Amino acid sequence: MIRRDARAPAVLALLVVLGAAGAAAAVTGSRARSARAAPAGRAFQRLVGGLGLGPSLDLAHGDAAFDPRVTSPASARFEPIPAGDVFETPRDVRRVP
Amino acid sequence: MGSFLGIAATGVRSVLLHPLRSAVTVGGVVAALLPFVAGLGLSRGLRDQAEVSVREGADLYVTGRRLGRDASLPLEAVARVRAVPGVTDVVPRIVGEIRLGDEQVSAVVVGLPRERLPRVTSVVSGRLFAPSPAAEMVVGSALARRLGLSVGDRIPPFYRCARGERVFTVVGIFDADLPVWEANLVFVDLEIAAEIFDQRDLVSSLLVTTSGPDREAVKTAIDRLDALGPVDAHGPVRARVVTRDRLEALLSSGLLHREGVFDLLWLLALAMAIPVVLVTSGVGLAERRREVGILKATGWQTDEVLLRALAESLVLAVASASLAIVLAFVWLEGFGGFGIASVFYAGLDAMPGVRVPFRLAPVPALLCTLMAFVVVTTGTVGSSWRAASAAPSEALR
Repeated sequence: MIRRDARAPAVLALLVVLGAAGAAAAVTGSRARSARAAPAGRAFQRLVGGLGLGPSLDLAHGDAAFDPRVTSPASARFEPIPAGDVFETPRDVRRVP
Repeated sequence: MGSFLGIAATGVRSVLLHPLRSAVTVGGVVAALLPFVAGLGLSRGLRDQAEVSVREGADLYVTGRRLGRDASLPLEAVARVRAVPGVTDVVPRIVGEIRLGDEQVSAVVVGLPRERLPRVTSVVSGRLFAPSPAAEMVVGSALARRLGLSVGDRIPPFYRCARGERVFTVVGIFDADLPVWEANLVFVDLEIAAEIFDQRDLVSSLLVTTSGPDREAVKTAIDRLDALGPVDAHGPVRARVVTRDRLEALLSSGLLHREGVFDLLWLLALAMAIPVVLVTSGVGLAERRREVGILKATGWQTDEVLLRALAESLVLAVASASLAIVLAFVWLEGFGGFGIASVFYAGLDAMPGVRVPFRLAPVPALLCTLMAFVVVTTGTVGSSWRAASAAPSEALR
């Protein structure tokens, strides 16, 4: 019992080091994932002539949120913002009837 | 040095002496950090894809302008822009929105001349569409899933056209591993896209390739064209030109600004997490006072007590940050960003139907560890210092 207690800090330190290694592996893994998807991404963009820059996947949330190249880039937002979709007014609501 | 390490080792042991206190602290910090790490990962992933979109796109994008707003271009603009010195290629493109199915699902129609596309491509399951008059389309992965479409399916007329409507055949579906903007695409021949919108000889924009590095000179020349097509009763259509350099600059500034806003918001959230950790770790406050009192009574100095608390904080912070990063990876990779991706992307369901891009970069990971250390240290070192500053008899009371 005493021997097991004596080892506990070392085991904890080992676990923390393993956790840090796991975090490093996650960082590396996500980078490798991006690298694997890159060639297909380039082929897609060459195929469609460069399409998509913003955090919207369709034009229903505003052309600029999808791609400022299909509208004026002045008011474009180019990447996700926290809860951006929640605060964004849908295009149909903005229209005056 | 030996005594220094010895004191630090007692800090490590202290984590185990109070498992509930340690678990509450790690849980609180992970809860605060996890959405932050996942959010930054999503932001970086989209940034990577947006950079590829700009880099692999055209040198210049030309759209029309009427009344100071964007307008469609006549097809004659292709020849006028091609005649500008420095222009080597011009491809007309149509981009517009349609609604499909009983649920009126929003889809993005992209039309390009079939003869300008490669015969085969690896990014489509099936094949690319045949040139007009064949009514064929390639659809995005999310759109296909929502409408239950597969290669070979036929879609009844979904548009109105004075020239008549046709039944379309789905000949290909974009792979789900592509950039997210493929999700809701309807990719067709240019003439078919014009037919879907019931227009003739009009396009949304021109994709221009230039011969030299001086894109600004070509841009200026196109800007100075009197009109991009025949002047009709409404007057000329003038050009609006966006260069790749301009897009890159906009992308960088937009990203930096938005990431800054995001970082700031989460720093505020973490600042709020500090009192939360202080309160929640209060389950061990009496224990800590008694423990420090005993240490002081047995001859420990205040700096040694603080060193012990720092070592404890470091262990808890590294454990918390590591756990948050690993969980963020599992959340984004294993569960496809369930719940969080739809907050960041407009048009995604809670369970994203597309492969959401993300990248956990080293700098945010280190920043996350630093923030965890600050939060945990505030909780542990503060209370230890207060107890160590008091007389042992007071601390033990």
